[in-house]
Amino acid sequence: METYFKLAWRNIWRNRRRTLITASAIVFAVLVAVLMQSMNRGSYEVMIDRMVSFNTGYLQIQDYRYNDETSLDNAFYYDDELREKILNADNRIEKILPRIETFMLAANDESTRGAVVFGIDPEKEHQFNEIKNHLTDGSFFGIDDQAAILSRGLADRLQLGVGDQLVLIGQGRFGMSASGLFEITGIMEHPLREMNNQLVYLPLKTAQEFLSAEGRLTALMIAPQREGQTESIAATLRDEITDSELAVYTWPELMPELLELMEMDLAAPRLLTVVLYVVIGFGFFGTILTMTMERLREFGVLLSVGMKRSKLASVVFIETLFISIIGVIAGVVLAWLVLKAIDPIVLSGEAAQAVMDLGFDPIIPMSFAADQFYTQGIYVFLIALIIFLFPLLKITRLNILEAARS
Amino acid sequence: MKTLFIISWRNIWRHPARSAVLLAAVIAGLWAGVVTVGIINGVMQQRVDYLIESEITHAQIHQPDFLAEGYSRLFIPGHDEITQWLSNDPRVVSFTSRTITDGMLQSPIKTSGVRISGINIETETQTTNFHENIVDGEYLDSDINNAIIMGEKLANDHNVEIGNRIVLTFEDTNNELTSGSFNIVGIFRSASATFDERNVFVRSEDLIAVLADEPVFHEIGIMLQHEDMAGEITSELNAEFSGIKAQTWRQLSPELSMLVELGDVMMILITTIIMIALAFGILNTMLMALFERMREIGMLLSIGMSKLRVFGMIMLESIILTISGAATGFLLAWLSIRHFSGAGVNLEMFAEGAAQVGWDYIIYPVLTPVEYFAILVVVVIITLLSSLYPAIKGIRINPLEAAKNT
Repeated sequence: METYFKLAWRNIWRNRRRTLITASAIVFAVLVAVLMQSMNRGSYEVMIDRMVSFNTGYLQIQDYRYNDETSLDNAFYYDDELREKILNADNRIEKILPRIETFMLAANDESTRGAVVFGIDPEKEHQFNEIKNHLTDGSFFGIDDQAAILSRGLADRLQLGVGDQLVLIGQGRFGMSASGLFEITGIMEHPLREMNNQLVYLPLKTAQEFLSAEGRLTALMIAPQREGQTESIAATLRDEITDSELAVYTWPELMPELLELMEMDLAAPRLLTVVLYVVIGFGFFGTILTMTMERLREFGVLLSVGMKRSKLASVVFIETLFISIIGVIAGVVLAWLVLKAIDPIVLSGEAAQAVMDLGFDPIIPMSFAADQFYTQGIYVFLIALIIFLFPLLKITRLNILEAARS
Repeated sequence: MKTLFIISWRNIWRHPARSAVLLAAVIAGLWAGVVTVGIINGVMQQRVDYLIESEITHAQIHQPDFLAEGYSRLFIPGHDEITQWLSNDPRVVSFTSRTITDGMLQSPIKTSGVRISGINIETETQTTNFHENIVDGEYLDSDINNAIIMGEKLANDHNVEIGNRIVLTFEDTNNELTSGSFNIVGIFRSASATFDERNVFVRSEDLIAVLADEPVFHEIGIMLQHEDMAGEITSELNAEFSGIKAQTWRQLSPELSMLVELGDVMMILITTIIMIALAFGILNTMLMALFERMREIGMLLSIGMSKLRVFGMIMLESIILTISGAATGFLLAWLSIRHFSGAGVNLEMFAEGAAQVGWDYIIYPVLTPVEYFAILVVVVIITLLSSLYPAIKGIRINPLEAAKNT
């Protein structure tokens, strides 16, 4: 057995150029496969991130009754103790963000509109979704100011600007009436158009007092370090807070329709990945076929001096294993380097404008998720192995006389 | 030249297997390019069509400030003259007028902000296919008084079902708050959950009865014979009538135009990746083929064949192979697109989630003659470019060295 390995190893270095070409074919196959996957995944992840960071957060803690009845009556009490408990439950939790949300009437002196009111902690909110970058006028408030930030659409509808007074009328917890005057300190452009027409941000403490819900939240959003950790953090948190009346939700549970839409978005790229494999396979087959032709004479000579076909086949098979492994490893390294170099792809022209109109950065980021490197590596390795069956087949069928003549 | 051609032709047939693989690689490349572009086009087209046909329509008319401010007093002036003009225009297939106001929906549980659209069932059904989104109950053609249909998400949030009554509160055309109670007759589910959460539909006559003293309309949705006509129709309308603003679907929906623009970018990126894979496959096969013939080319050079002629010979071989491969590939691609644009490609096997209402998993590829031609040109150029390097390599051979090699 060891002899086979030695023979194979020497064979592949005997004709260095041939080995390099074959290996480079594999390197390139891995490179394009990872590239395609990374681009698809990257644009998928950025879409999730945009939706999730402004909407629900990757994970959310709510009172268990809140999901059935989204009312302030089902807000839960949140203090430093609970905060510590959650933060300590899992060290992969990166950020937590408290919010209180309700629906109220927003008015100027002559007209009234419905508005979604969010009580937020401006600093934490900014860390979470860079909200301050979406501010177009004025400035942000402190956590207990009697102030408000309006979304652009709502401000236009009420014809209010920075420095004006906003009237909010509605109900607080357990039917307590809530009405108050707030100074508008800023106007922001919310990236989700539906929200842009009806959003009011209040400082968290002010909102809690105003709504007779001191110390209470309707939702606590949790960001993991990486999107992929969402499910396992949810599991840990569920174990941790079993005794209380809190429930943990993940974003697919909170926005199932988004997940379905994403699934549809992924189906076409998956088909195109198959198309890519077909092209890779053909290109690779060409290289291997030519290599086999080139070596027919050598195989013929070896067989005619008495080498068994099975032994020759084993040696060639080990050679191809070597080449494939070298190729796949080099391909993964190269793919990583290329991804680093092109990440992120910056859009230009109309596409960039269209993305910026919605308030997002005009980029397509690449995904660096580890699994795509090895899964694509393995797929290409398998394609290579299947194609490498061709020289083996040729060896078992080789006509010695004809081969020696060629 | 003629001799060169004959030599190349014979060279090709001297290695039928290798030539066949090269041919196959070109065919696969062309086929892959066409299928990729066709599918991405198909996916995009289907989405755009769905949104246009169910909701946005090709063009819409509003009072200029209505979309930004949303007051019901901002109705379309001279509505009847506009509809008269539209019904006399042969490019207009159908149109429908809607009475719209933003307001609040109150159920026993809570209040939320919604856009209330009063529609004319007859013209709406001719213009959009939104009625196909009904998942439960019936459409607004029900006999029940003050009928309303609402999104599944909104109904769940409010814990209401068919047969329940809800209250809508909004400002009438005199800016007075007014309200009316409506009976839920149907539940719809469109492709967008945010849309379902923020929109309810009633009959326009029911809405006008509480909203205004005379029939008012805030939006006219227009379907044209072809989406490309939207630009000219809207500019003619804007020139003909004052006090209104006609807009095309692209202007109306930044999300949709982002979808289209990003789709184009993704198409270019994915096609580039597949073409790189193709180029590398061909390059490798050609290089391998060249090294196999080193001795032969060295011989030709040493018996006095000029470098230019050797270069010409190798390139000519590639050109003959490329052109016949491209022609076959083109035919195959055309046939498969023709087949699939009728039968559709079912992407369900590539999807992990359940099918989504609205988007379909069956994709009908779309390809314009210009795109066919562009792909053909790109594949031919890529193939020729990738055979250039081996040809240059070929004339750099040192005849002495080459003759020594076996």
